[in-house]
Amino acid sequence: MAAGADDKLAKEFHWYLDNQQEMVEKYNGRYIAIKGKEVLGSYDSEEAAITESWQRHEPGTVLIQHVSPGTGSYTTIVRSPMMIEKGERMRDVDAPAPKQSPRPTAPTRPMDEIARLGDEIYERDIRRQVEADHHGEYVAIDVDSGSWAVSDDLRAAAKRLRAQCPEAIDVWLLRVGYRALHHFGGRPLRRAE
Amino acid sequence: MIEGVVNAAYEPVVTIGLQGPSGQTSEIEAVIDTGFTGFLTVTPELVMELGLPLEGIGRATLADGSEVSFPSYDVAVLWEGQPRYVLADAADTTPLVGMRLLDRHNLSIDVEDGGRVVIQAKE
Repeated sequence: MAAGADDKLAKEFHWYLDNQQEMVEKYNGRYIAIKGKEVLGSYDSEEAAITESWQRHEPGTVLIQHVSPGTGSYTTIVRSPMMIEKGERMRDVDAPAPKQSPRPTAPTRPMDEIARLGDEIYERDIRRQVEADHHGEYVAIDVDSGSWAVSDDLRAAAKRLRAQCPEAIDVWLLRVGYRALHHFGGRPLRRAE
Repeated sequence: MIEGVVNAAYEPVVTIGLQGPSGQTSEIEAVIDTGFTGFLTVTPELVMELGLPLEGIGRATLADGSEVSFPSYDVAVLWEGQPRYVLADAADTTPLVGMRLLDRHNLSIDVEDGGRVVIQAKE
């Protein structure tokens, strides 16, 4: 479910992907600033990477990438110029919460409607793709766009979806193969499908 | 190790710290509920106080077999001094600590009024 980089930084992102192994060997765990096909610098923290590189380069022209092996960081760290201009940044799955919450504390629709729309989208578009290989994992669905993400961790599924779809507000969360996410005080006797 | 106590109502209670996205913290008393398979429930007031961002809506089954939809919020639980990022379900009840939050921990409860509650990370 890797989200694509914004067009303007796609070149940098693809260069990173092509050179990921070398980057991991040199900079594993650090944040690097990439412009064109050049690493401008490596930093301990994301803050430092952003501050340093934006002092010398126009914001939105430098890709800040967390270096790690595997595909885990693809979806979460690519920052689009649009977001940078808006002063918003996506969050890494394990990163501390940002200073300002970009999201409201309430959905825009009644919860029952989100449930209905979410179930519809799941049955129509998603179930067949996940049931075999992701049983017991979690799916997050933006009921407005139909975008979705799957992960074995509930929070990671929600974060992954927001990395793809930062505007998502009404998001339906479900567990593959189960009727409910959680049970309070016991579970129905019939199998919870 | 996290320690708590069984109160007079026979609820095993622990005190945990929660942190919102702007860094506000709040200490809450939560009841350990082994019948709850989620991470944590928080009150709507706490969601507002900490400014917790909405992550999504989910479905839960209640003890009588009925189903409810509930909003889930991103929160950092300060767990033995370390933040653990989880999704908390909003519910208008005493906050509950569910089994997922106790994942890979050992829970022991001396069940009596004033009894000791101990939560310990597994080696």
